[in-house]
Amino acid sequence: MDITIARPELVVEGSGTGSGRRWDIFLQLNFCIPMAVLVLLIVAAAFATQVSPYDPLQTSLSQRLQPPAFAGGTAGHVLGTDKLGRDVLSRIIFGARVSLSVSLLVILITATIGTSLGILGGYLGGFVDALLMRITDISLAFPFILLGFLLAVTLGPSVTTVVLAISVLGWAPYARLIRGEVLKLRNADFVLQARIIGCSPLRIMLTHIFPNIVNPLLILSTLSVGLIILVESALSYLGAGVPPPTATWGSMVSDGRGLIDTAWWISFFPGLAIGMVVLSGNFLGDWLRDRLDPRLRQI
Amino acid sequence: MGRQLIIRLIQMAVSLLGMSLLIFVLVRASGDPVDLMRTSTSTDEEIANIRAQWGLDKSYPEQYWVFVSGLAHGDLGSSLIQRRPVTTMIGEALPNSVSLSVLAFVLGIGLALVLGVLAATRRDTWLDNGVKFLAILGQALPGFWVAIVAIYIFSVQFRLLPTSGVGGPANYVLPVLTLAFFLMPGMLRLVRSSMLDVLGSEYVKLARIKGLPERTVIWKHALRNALIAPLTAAGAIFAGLITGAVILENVFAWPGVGRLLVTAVSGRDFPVVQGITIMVAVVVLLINLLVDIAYAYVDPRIRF
Repeated sequence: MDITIARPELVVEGSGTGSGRRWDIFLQLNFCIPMAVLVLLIVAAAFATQVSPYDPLQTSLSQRLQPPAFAGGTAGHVLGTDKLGRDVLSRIIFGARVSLSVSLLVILITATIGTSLGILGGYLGGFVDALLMRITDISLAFPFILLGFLLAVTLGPSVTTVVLAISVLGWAPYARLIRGEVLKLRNADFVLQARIIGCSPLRIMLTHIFPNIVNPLLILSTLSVGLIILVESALSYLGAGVPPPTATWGSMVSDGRGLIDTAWWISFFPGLAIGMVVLSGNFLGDWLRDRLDPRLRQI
Repeated sequence: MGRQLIIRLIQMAVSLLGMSLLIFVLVRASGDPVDLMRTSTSTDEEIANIRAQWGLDKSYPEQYWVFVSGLAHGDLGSSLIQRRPVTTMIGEALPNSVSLSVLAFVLGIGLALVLGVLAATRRDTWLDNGVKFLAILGQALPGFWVAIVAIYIFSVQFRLLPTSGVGGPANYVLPVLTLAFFLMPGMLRLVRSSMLDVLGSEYVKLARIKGLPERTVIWKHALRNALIAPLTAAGAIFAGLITGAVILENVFAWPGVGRLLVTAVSGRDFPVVQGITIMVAVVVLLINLLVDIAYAYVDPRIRF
């Protein structure tokens, strides 16, 4: 009895034990709805060729500008067709590939760079820290879209260019957050003890500090999915993203801009897809933060 | 303060130099700019002439010196397509961008302040939830899509407003509103959470105990202190304003710098893209300097 009173967080945190508690997750709407959307996204991207009703690049002059099935169109094209007769639904499904692969690559690169720099700056302090934080501040305040343009002009638009353009500035939020966390840890007893028994700084950073910043890292990574997809689609919209004829959500919205008075569905559905995925990423990130690390309100 | 200001100015100069070096290297790393102009009929002699004309036959340090000294004189080079100085082209487009951005900034930040304070003081009411919902939506929906949907509703369906371009005051309504909506959510969240922190503080309790009217407590004592946290994010908010303006100028065919930039990107007009990037970089660094100064001014506890 004393033990439960002494550790009240156990009582608050788990409403049951064993399998019962594990299944509780699926009853939380703010977890399962965004999760379902993201699973749908992953399935669509992975099995695009099997799932999509048409080839996303196949044009058909006789099927141009067909409205969606519920707005007077045929059941053949559920979300209608664009000005070249390409099926909008199929293009959205294939567009998921671009969004998902760009997000995963960017997260991998930015999280690695940002975490390394954040740990280095936070643990070593002094001049290294001051210099790194100055660069971080400038990166945070620089409009990413300009860099994207610059790279698109010099390297030519491609998936690599998009990933590079977002990554060049995208590491900064990681560096800023991780550094703050490391500052709190660097004088903790376990770090001091590791130093006393003669661990090298590298070993301390890798095996003692890193495991303690995994939670904020996970939260920020989840929250950044939405942002990356928004940036990628903005670059695509402006013609500096993955070049045509590859289907991307941003370029699809852009295709429909000129036809907004006759064929609203070309722009509407891809934009809706972006909005739903971003919303899900943000909700899932918030949910994860509330569960793992409620202190991190500010991110 | 004076000494610190000088240090910050030197830092700024170093940042600019670093950025110019980065851009210079980027251009050269991406291959010979003349290659972009090469056609099937161009002879080697022609190419050599163009290279000499652009100074590309000089050594890299020499080329960099020419580039940087040009920058120092405010010379951003000439457009490859329009054959006009980049500074002139920016000068023509800038007033349109500034008028759009300033209006959207005032509206977006003003709304964020009012709604953020109202939401924080009426926590967990329908108003708070509505404001939170608005912020969540604003952060998730892509700005260009919101703009297109707005065009569809107000210009195509109800025929109330022009779809694009400049002209009368009616042309401002949709671009300004959508840019403000793009800008508002980030600031709104910051103001709300910062205001919640401040409302729980001792000096707000004291102001209430003293018997000050609630309006004075909230809008004077609390808000002034709650603004310190959003001020640190001013750099990021400014970056957001530029990003949003670039995107929305293109949706609304608004003849500003953002439109110029995107046209230049599709035409691979490198000097224009480079010139605009450098100009924005200077403005970004200046804004950050001003924010640092304003920060020390608003919060006297902070000394550089």
